[in-house]
Amino acid sequence: MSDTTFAQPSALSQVFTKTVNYVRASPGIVVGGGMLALMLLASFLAPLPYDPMTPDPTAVLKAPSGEYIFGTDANGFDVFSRVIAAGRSDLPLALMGTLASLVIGLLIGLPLSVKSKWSEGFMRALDAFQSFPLIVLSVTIVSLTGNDIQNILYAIVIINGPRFIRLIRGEALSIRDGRFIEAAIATGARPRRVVFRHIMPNVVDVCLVQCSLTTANAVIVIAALNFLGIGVSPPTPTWGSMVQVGAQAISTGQWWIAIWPGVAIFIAIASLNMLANGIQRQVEGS
Amino acid sequence: MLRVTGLTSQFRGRAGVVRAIDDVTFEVPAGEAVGIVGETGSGKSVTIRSVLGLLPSYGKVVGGSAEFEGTDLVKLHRNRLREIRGARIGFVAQNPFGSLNPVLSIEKQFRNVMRAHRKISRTDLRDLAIERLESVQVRGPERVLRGFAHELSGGMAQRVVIALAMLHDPSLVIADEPTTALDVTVQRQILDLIDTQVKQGGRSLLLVTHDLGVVAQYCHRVVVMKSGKVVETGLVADVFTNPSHDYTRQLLAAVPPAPWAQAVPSLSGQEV
Amino acid sequence: MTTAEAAQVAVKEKRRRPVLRYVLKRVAIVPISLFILGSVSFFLVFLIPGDPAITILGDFATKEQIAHVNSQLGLDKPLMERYFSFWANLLQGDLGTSFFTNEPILHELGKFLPNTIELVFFALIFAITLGMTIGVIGAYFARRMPDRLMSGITSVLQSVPDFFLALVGIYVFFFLLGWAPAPIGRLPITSGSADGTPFLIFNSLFTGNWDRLGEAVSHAALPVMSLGLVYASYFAKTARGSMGTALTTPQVEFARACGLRERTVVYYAFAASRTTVITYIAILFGSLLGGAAIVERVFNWRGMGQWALDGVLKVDVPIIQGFVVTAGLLTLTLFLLLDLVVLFLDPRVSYE
Repeated sequence: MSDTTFAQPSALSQVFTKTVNYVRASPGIVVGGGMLALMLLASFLAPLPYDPMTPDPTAVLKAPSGEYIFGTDANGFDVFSRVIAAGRSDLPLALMGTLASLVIGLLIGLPLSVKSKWSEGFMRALDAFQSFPLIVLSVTIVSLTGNDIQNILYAIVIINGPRFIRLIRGEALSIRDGRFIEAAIATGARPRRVVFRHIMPNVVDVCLVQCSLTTANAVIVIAALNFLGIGVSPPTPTWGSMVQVGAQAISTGQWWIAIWPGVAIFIAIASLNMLANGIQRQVEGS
Repeated sequence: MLRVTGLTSQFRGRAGVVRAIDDVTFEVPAGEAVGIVGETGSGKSVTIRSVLGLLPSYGKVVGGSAEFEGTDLVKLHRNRLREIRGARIGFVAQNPFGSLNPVLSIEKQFRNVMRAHRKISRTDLRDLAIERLESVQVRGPERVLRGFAHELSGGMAQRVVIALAMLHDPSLVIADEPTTALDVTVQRQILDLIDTQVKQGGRSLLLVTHDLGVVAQYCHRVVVMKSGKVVETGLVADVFTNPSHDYTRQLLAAVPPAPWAQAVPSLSGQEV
Repeated sequence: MTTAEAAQVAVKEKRRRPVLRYVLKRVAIVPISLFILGSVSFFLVFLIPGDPAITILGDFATKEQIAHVNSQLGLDKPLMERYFSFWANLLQGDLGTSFFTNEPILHELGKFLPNTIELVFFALIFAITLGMTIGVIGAYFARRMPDRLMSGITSVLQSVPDFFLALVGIYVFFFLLGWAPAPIGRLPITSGSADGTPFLIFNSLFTGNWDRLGEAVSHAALPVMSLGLVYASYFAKTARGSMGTALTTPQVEFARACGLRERTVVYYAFAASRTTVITYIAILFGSLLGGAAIVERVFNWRGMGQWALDGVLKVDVPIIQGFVVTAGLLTLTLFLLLDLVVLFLDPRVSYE
């Protein structure tokens, strides 16, 4: 009893000091994570100058100015308000897609982390699957199953699930060969217990890196699909669909409609990549 | 021949600047064999890399000189130094498979080493390479030339490395633990081979090893290093019979009776 | 003969012609992959929820239209019969006809596939050349100024979606500077359609049609670059990693110790690490093909990807099936080619 009450705060403070050390040693995590947090906060909490869902037909194709800082598009939507508001659907969707891919990766990758003919065969099949233009396959599946924004989750999972499966299986395999697993089995732990008690925590570190990379990829996938007109329900703004709207105007010089949402995508991806690099360096360093 | 004076090198690392070797002084007289001994991390390898200008990008020679045939290698422009490496100084590294390029044929590697210093026709080169391979007792040199590193045994690969090192008749041969990566059975053959090559060509030898038995058998002089510093130098006979430094005494005490029986056990419990 | 002897003979057999064996083994996989590929494309149709004919035609379709689509899809026949006739047609090269244009799929592919191949080919060349240069420079000057610069460029390129880069390119080089032509396809409007000349660039090059070559190249510049720049970052990352490792190996140290010139030393490291980069093409090819589809749409390139995307959005099932089979075939061919290149470049492979 006294044991657990004692262990609780020490574990917490351990986590805390560990976090502080992470941040101090790695600017990538701070800058990347900070920018991401800022984008999320802004998209949900920032006051918007105009309603992102209702256009103003009297202000069409206005260049950026004091009144409309990012300009307006061909329908009279305020680009700034929409760029900020688009984060509400794009970022959570990317995170959800990543989470789903992670879950798939764990559910399939861990059971496959045994060296058998069957699991090797599965990996071969996965190789073949991944060598296919998956973005087109996911476009196919999303558009065949119905043009919903939630279906974009399938697309993200199709593209990123295999990466998680491969990663988690590989990690689990290499850790399984490690000494302390042998020790755990030698002391009588059951194989399933070994997988969940001992292998899982070790996989987490590596997964963290993959998660931020996957979220970056998910942002691209969402933007690409929306750009193609898939999973878009106007007038709800998404970065990809905004770039698409702007694409029609860019040859005639109205750059601001496509460029600002594009910049938002760029910043989101760049900060996620920075985050991944930062974590990677930490994992390698320790 | 080679006179190293006060040589000092540093490495930049995460923890700051580390002095890897400090004030290293010794001499390799013409026609003699000198052994550098010391445990892992004593600075043997850093010393020869400092002499040859082969430190990694985060390492730097910060003081001293390494005079070879009258020129200071430390101050030499890197292009001039390149002309000396491989031509006047031959180098035999630890791991023969690590040394040879895995995807280029052996002949191609001979050609590259040759052309780095001298223009020569393809057929002349081939004859020379075959002759050299024969002199290091490689059987079937034509076949070896056509093949690749992974097709050779460890002993054969090291012979090829020696042949490459001797290609330009260097006056000094530097060998960095040339037998560590090899089977115990071929270690002696390789050392004998290097010894003959050096003696026949009237060359000098700088042999890095952790094995005092090897030094006793093949070298005239010995340099004992510990934590980046030279603790004792002198003729093998003198140093071995009458060591002046405690560390040398410990090293000698740790040598097993039969020189070829096993490697010298580590003094500090580290891997040797 | 004991089993040990037999095993020895087998080993000898294997030693004698390792390359041939390897190639044969590699080629033998192709039919299996083809079978899986065809089956996958056949069963894609079952993903459509509800009545496929209504999904395809919309709610206001007439009975005749529905019956037509159903017979086209073969939905009026039993499953196995459809599956077999699908294969029978496929093996004869008959991929069906498009629901909307009524053109045979094979005919459409003949028009669009060469455009895609040219785009992907030049984008790959561009990406590999640039990426390797960036990676090699970074690795050579590891942890120094050029390395930081190169890795900065890499991470910027990695964070830009290709379709967005394409738009920026259009704005800067077409609208602002006027260097690039309008993004309207493979040739200027005045030169007519390029549909009649497959492999426009190669064709113009080999027939010596210099005017048309110039037009084709200037129209290809932006699409190739926007696709190539993004993928260059992936190659740069791989090349930086494998070159970085190769340059710190004892092998490179020995090369330096032999007095080889720096450029030969770099070549040694490059030779040892190039197969990693080449193998990486295989990993990237799928997403490159997908990226090409989007870029094709931006530039109205009239390639297979654009055609497939349009088909997908209209639920034009034969087009989707045609694309799946063709993309799979392309990938398989490329993998085979890459394996042979690696085999040629790396003598160790055949012994594994």
